[in-house]
Amino acid sequence: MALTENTSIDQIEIVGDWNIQVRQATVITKNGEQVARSFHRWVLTPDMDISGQEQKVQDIANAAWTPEVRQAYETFKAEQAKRMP
Amino acid sequence: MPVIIDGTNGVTTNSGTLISATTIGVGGATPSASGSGITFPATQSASSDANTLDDYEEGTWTPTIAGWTSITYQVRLGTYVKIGRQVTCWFDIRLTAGTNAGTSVTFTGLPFTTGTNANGGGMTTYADIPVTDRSYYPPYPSSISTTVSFYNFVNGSSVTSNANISGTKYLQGCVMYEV
Repeated sequence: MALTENTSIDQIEIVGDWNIQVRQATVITKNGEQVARSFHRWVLTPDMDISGQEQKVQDIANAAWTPEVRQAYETFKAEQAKRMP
Repeated sequence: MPVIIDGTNGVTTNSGTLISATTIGVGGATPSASGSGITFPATQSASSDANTLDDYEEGTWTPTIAGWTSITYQVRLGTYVKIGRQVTCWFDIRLTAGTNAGTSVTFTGLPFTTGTNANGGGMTTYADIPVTDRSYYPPYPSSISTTVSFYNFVNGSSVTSNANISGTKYLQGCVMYEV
């Protein structure tokens, strides 16, 4: 009747050109069989400090966020800011 | 009740209905051992068919006030439910400190990036953050982002804070959008 809790990053998705969606799953197992699962999510963009992220997340972000992608993101942000009231 | 399974018709029953005592897994998902319902794959298998429900997920996220400094959060909770392309997020932000004068009321951290045409909106259920304009200000998610800003309901102008946070201040509500 041992309950165990395991938390891990179970999904990393690149959405569009620069958004990296990360999902952390917490799984509770009883005698090896899953009895509950919950998720926590966040999204990373090129202007964020990712030093606190897990290494595999950092690796994907650093691969995806090329100088061209970072520049495109800055351009997108500037254009979006112009459209704000 | 006879159940027929074949490679052509899938599952059929004599009565035309199928009853599961607990859960049904679709898309190869292992049916949940908890409760009764439909278990979707942990990673969405998106369908292009408009009549196909292809995803369900619920979880938490962490809202972060943007542009302010020296923030102290008392409560910082976000929950979400995603059904197909529709995401509904609830936020409960309570602050006891924050330097914010002259900056917009904006938070980031939505659990899913909004779509190109986010078509989003929402409802502020309670807010007492000091702002220049005390009119009702609903949340509005920007497209292709995880940012939500607040705008005056009457004239559409950006809501701007005008005093630093002192005591417990609330920002609570929900926002819906497409991905």
